[in-house]
Amino acid sequence: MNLSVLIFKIFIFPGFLFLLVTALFLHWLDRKLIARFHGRVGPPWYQPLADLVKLFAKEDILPSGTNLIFAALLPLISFASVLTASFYLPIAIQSTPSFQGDFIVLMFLLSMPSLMYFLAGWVTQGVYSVIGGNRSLLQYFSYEVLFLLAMSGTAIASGSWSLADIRLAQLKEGPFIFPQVVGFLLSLAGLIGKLKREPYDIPKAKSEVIAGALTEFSGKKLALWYLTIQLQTVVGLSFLIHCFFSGFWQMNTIGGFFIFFLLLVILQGILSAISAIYARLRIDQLIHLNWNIFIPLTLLHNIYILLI
Amino acid sequence: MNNILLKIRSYFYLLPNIVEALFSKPETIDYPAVTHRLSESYRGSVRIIAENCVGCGLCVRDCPAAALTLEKDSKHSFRLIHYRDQCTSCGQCELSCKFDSIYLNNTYQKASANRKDFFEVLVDKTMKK
Repeated sequence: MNLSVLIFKIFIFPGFLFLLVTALFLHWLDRKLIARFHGRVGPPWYQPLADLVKLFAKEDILPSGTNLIFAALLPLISFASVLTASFYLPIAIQSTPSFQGDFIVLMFLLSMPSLMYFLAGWVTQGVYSVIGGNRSLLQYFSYEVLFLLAMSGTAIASGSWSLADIRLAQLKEGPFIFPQVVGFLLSLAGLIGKLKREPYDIPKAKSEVIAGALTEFSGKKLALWYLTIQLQTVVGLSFLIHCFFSGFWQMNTIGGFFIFFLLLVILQGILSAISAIYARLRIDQLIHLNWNIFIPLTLLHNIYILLI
Repeated sequence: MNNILLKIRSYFYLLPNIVEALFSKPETIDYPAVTHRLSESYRGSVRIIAENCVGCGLCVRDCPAAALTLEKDSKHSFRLIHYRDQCTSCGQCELSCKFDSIYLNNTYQKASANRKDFFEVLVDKTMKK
């Protein structure tokens, strides 16, 4: 591949700039939709960008006793891992190099920010930060298992751990959303846990732990954290779309891109509606829901996929 | 069976509400341009009928927030001053007044950064020297 094309792909489309714009757009859509669901007006379209610029311009303060190197590294690592995950994923229907097992690599890269989030709470040493970080780790073990098991239904159906093979199987047998609706809904639940959105927002419950692990962060580092979570939304949703819907289009087509973007907007709408409808779960309710209901359901679902 | 159906319905019972909210007008008002419609009994700004005021000082004595002061030179020469930043709109002055002079109406003072807006001379019956 030509070097200039490669640079264009990495930095502009479907790389960093496209991801950034999509992330900010989806974040705006989320805030606007939740506001409208509440009967409020909601922010103007440039609000997420304005927030980001404001945070980057603000002073960067951390409490004394914080390990400054770690506090700077953690948001960078999580940001980098989400960006790296985006390069393995055919975002916006652009074909990417695929290998056996990139599904698992993607899972690992997407779960890195949660671990970094816990460590962020630990190194900043605030009371709320430590509690928020511990809560995120507690939640981690229930939704991560659910997400992996529910998503692996697609890998079982295609007989391969490669994203390209999952897509090829869908082109042959039709999109996986039709036989695997339950799996899709369960992986959406897992993704909500990963993104720490309501009703899985126990680690950043405002009325209990202020902002959870990010309480003590400010300025550039906080902006980077927010950007990471917004990018994680885009990459996570694209992952779901790729695994369940990618039989609908051919690669590198404009029509396919529009369907992809429409699905992204619809799924973000569903996430916003769930945020608006449901209240935060208690920790015991979350553990009960995930380990006693969702994960057995996922296992049954996977057995059903094996049988068909 | 019925119980399970009810339970499943309970997970979605807010769905019609959010769909309705999505397609209806927002409740938010364009505040400085449009003001809230308040009920008649709403306790807002402190107003006075200056002719009725005799400067007895009952409102000043009873004000729990110490938002009223009376500057009295003689029996018929006084000034009643209201400090809006301290006032909690509790309505005690209205209850204490024996002459139906001081009352609260349903308007309110907009936020201000100007020092002069924080106090108001309600009655000025000082004798000109």
